[in-house]
Amino acid sequence: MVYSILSDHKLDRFYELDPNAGQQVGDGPETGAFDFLADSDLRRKLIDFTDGKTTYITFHLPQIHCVACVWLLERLYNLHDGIGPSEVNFTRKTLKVPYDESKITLVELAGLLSRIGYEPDFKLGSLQQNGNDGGRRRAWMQLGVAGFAFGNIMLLSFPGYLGVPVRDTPWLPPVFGALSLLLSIPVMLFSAREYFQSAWLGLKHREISIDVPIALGILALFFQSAFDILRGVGEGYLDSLAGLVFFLLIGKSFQRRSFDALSFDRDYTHYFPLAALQVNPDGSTATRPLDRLVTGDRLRIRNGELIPADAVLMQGPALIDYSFVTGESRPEERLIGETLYAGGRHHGAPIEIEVIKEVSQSYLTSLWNHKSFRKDHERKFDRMTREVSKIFTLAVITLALATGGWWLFHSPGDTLRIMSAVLIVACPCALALSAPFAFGTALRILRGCGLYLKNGFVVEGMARVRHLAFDKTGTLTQGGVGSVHWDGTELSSALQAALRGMTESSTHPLSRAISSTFSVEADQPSGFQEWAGKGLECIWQGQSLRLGSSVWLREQGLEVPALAGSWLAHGSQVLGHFHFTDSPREGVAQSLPVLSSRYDMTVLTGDREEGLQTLRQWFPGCKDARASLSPGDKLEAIDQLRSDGRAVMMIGDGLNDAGALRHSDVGVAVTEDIQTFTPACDAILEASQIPDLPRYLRFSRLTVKVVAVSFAISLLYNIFGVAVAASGHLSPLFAAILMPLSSVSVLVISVFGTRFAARLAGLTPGPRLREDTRPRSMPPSPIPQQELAA
Amino acid sequence: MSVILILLLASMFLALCFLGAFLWSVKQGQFDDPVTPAMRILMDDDSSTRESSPPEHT
Repeated sequence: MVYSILSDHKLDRFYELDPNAGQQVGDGPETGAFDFLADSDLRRKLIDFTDGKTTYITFHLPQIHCVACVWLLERLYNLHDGIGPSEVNFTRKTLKVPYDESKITLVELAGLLSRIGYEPDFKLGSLQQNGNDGGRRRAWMQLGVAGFAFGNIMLLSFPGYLGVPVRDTPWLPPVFGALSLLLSIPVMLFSAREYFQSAWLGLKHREISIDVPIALGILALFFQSAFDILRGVGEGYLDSLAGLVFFLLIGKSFQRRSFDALSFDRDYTHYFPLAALQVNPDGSTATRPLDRLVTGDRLRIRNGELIPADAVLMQGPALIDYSFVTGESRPEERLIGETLYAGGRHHGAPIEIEVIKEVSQSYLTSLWNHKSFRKDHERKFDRMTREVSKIFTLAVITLALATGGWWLFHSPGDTLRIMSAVLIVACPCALALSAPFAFGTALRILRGCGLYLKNGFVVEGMARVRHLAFDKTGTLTQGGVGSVHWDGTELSSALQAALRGMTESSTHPLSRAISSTFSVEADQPSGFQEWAGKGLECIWQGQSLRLGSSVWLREQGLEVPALAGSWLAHGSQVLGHFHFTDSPREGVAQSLPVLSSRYDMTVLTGDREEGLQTLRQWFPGCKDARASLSPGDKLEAIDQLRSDGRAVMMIGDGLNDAGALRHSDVGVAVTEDIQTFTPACDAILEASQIPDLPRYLRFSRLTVKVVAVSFAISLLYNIFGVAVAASGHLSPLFAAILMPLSSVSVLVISVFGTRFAARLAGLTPGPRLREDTRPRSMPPSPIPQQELAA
Repeated sequence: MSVILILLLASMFLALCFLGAFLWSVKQGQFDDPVTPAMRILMDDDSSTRESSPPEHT
């Protein structure tokens, strides 16, 4: 289908560009899936800009995965003459399209994209505009200005250091000095601005951060140099100043996380759709934006759609998959009159529901109204840097005052000069650089292994963790219905064929799971009937063959024990039942004992008690496992674990873990596909990498040791420098050598030490050097498989 | 020795030009997306030229 659209418009070269280019397109969205885009209010919020003629919109297309995608999407104008030249941002997986509203509507544009396999992803959260480009561009410019000033001031300072004779041109040194001073002003006002701001902010909150001694050092450098140059007694330390700021900014940019495609601050609005289909009293339907839903609205939910708000089922039956919300691993049947909670995904024929609570007040979303979500919950990981810098700052200030006092008695004229020399040399440039570079390197190594950290300081948080809390469904286990076991009389191959035929005809997840266990050819069932919420029936060898719940079979007058599972009956004879057990992820059963030898472990699950039975079978070391927890219970469980002061790491995947992830010291969200929704967290872990968790934790501990070593080295440099400065011998040349030397050596130790730590911990970055160039193995479909399996 | 002044001015002017070019490119958004342009450059401009020339491998 896609091929025919493309070849009609001579775009079939798409398939030559990349052998992975083709993706399996699902059934396609239902017709009218994008009707909500016709709503003018919503449309205005979604578009970037319009001048009445051309409108710009940015779509989020998670399916973008290769060069050919870029090629195709940037040639969209070949498909419709209302579309202008579009632009892909590969890392963010976005497409910016200009289009002519008089020729193509937004609904048609979204439909066109989804027909060629790129279904735009509209979520409630996409209404909130986010622009962090400004900050990033600013950081680049600050770096550029600092680098420019550093290079030029260094050149101007060289003659002074080399002692070039200036007998013929006595006016030259002042000119050089004045030029250096001129060049250093933008460094002070523009590049170093953030350091002054953050130091000032810290002081206002009575908190001494590493930025305080840095700001003090920069100020001392500048004013001492300006004083020297203006009085004509020397060339000052301006090259050290510019170099210091330049190195610091490089360190800052190094630890900035560099993956745009991931978001670590997502809340429920990034999970819910933009709009729902409303049914009016007269039977007509209209799309209604989710944020304007009110109690009493009647909605139609189609196959694979989310229940957007707590509601009562009016027309059913419904089959709701709550796995992502509650951790309950099996879809549940709901009958008319029952309450459906927001966040569940419906499978099967369309249902109608009546909203009883608004979106933001629903059972699930009310978690976000919890007080911990309302305040800006900023966790501080840089505890090590902060504690060291607090002691350091106090020491520096005391030292400066002490040397100042000593010199006041011995040579009052030199007092100010020497005090500022102490401040200059004590400026913790190396100290401030070691943590960003070590943690930044760790961030990159871990990214190569499939663990994406929010920022470098999460490594420090990971190293402090003493207690691990796991979610079960979707984290330790595969999720979904699990593995299927048959308990009963042996099934003949003819019966297996009939069963396969029957179960294949149903879309029920349990039927699908059962049908996948048979290897025989399916036999077309005769007289097939599906009793929603009850079971399946067909005619086989002249008698009815029934597969369904024990309750249903008992209603039919059969002798069936009241046990969970799918029971099979042929005629009046009960043959046995299929039951389902959670199976652990590959490798998890081996790595858990490794972890439990070092960490305390807790399993928190929203699943039923019997789910824990199977867990204990393959993980006997599990002492603390709690079942049937609501999202709020999980949050409280984490608080309780943390109450004795030990750092807790929560590893979970679903929306029901959102509170626990937020309250733990380090929250790790597990996901099958890093492009899909993950709740707010500190780190995102690829599900297949869970068995490697012991290595990641060991690596984080080693990295912290590397930082401690480089702290010690940079302190040695400082003590040495301060000793020289306090004795009154600090020359600009000495400062110009010592500062870059200490910075660069600490930087090298941090980076290579961390790499060595990775080798010690056995981490070998996989083939995914860049997270975004991997082909997606999941075909895009209206029901993302990975969310189902969560 | 005044030649050094000319050199100084020239070098400063040149350096400022480069700084200006850098700042302009950042403002233009050339540093916003470091990945996609690298892919774009590898793609041929036009698919219509291909039709006039026969496919190389048949």
